[in-house]
Amino acid sequence: MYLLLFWFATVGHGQTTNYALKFIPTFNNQPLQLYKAYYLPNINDSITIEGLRFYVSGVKLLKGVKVVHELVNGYYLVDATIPETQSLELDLPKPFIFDQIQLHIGIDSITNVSGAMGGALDPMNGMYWAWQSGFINFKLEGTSPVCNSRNHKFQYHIGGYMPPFNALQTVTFSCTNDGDLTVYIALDKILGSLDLKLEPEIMSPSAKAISLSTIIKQNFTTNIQP
Amino acid sequence: MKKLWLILFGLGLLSFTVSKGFKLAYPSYFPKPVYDFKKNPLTQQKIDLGRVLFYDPILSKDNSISCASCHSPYNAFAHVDHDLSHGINDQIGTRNAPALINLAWQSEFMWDGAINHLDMQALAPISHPKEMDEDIANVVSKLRQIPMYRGLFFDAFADSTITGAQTLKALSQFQLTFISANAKYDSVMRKESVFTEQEANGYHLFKQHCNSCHTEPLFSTYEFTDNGLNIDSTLNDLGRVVISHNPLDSFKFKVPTLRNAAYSFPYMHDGRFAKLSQVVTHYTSLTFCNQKDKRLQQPIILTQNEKVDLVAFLLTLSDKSFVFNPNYSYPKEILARWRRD
Ligand code: HEC
Ligand code: HEC
Repeated sequence: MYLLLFWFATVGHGQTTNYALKFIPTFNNQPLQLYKAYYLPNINDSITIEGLRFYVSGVKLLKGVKVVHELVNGYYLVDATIPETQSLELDLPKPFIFDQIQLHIGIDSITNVSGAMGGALDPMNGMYWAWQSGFINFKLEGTSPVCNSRNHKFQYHIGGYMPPFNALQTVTFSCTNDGDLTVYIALDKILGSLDLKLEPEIMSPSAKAISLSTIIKQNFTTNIQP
Repeated sequence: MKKLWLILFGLGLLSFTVSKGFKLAYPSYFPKPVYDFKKNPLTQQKIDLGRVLFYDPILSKDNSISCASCHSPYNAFAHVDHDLSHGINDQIGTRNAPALINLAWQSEFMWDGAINHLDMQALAPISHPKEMDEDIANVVSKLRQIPMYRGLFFDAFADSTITGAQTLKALSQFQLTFISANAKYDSVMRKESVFTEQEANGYHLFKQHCNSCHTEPLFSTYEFTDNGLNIDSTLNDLGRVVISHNPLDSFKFKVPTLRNAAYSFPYMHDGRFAKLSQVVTHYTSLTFCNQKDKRLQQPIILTQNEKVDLVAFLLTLSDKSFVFNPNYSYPKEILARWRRD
């Protein structure tokens, strides 16, 4: 009996029901510091990030191409100013064997048309557009002297669920099920792709929002080692 | 066993005091509502809360305007005497406030369908143009400071925290009760009265020329189309295309209901017509280049008498019991209750 327990503890290692998904925003491969002035080569000037928030939803655990578990109704709002939100504790109903995790950066179209919802989805959180219904999937704000805007602010509010401007992105990460998964978000790369001077604001569903959402997706990775 | 019964009985009592269910009454000849009541089951307490909110200027940034400032019950919840609603936001200032009628049967709101759900509609007037996605949070923090609202939210949601979602759901609940189905037209449908000869002739003309878009019994299909208005170059409102990004949707606006049209003047998205007779004349004087919708490609030719008959029919859609329904008016009895407590 004792042996059996021991066997479970070792061989079945990682078959846990508490699995954490961590999100670490980075700048130049270092964890981001809000309100710190960073140098950004493509503008040859400084940049300060004041806020980063994004939704994570539709989390699926996969083994090969097979979905072994799906976190239905799991909507999380990750906020760089609130460290607790950067680690999602996935309370699994039982241990699963999986080798990939898939997730949406943002909110799917059905949820977008489902009316008022509480918790992470409460419009009170400031992640919902008032004038044209829809969730903001990803919000990045700050300042840079190069921005041609009031107070040199940049505001990228990326969202939109209706074709042709559906900005929802899905990413899949390889993983092992014996340790938590950390996802890094390379903000220097995302900001480096933008024209901060002439286009300091993207705040509605549009072709520009779609192309930025693709760049955002490419910069959600598990392989940066800070 | 006895204990179990007691518990069940207790639970029953509890749920009764916590929420009195509310059933919407609508005629059998209406289709099924599209609003998903399962996600927001109506209760009298939530409707009451929504009514208090609807009349409270606390929802606006500077505590000056309430929903009712632009949506008066005596005008079927349209904006009296204003062609373009004046208020908080540039965008709102370019459109005429529509009547709020039978909202449970609509899935897209605003003249261009910018809002995808009734619950989310209130965010638009609540918000300020530049800080567009933050103001519901301000509203919630203002509400949290008021003991009456803590009480009303507790009665409605068994929780006095007050959230944005609850605020929006309560506003929806009150507006979902705006059912107009008691006009003369309805009594004729129910075989309780008959049209006059003039009204009957108007009804006949209506079915021939208007019913394809303003379809009975809701008097709208709620689709977006172009009814041949020339663009107002001072506003340059492109309509649906701004939302759908489909060039074919240029100059398309939502077909409005014609119920209570006699009360909800002025007409059209920009309030350009003051009278129903002017609207009828618009439809009878369409030229080739503004007959974009195929349902308007046959010229509508009406004699002077026929025009009068058509308007006479439109007047049978006026529902006095809707416009003067005491349950929709300023909630003085609810406020009085809270002052006394
Ligand atoms: C300043 C005037 C004004 C205020 C205040 C106002 N509205 Fe409106 N309302 C409008 C206008 C104008 C429209 C149409 C806007 C458009 O089509 O872009 C509208 C549209 C609506 C609609 C959509 C109706 C339909 O058939 O599509 C609803 C519902 C509504 N308002 C409810 C409210 C509620 C609830 C409030 C308070 C939270 C409110 N309104 C406050 C002017 C106002
Ligand atoms: C092709 C579809 C179509 C047909 C047919 C049609 N309408 Fe309309 N109607 C509309 C649309 C769309 C609007 C809103 C247009 C706008 O504001 O830009 C409208 C608006 C109106 C309004 C204004 C209502 C308000 O609250 O502002 C009235 C009144 C009206 N129509 C009456 C009629 C009558 C009477 C007929 C028949 C002679 C008719 N309509 C035929 C599509 C149609």
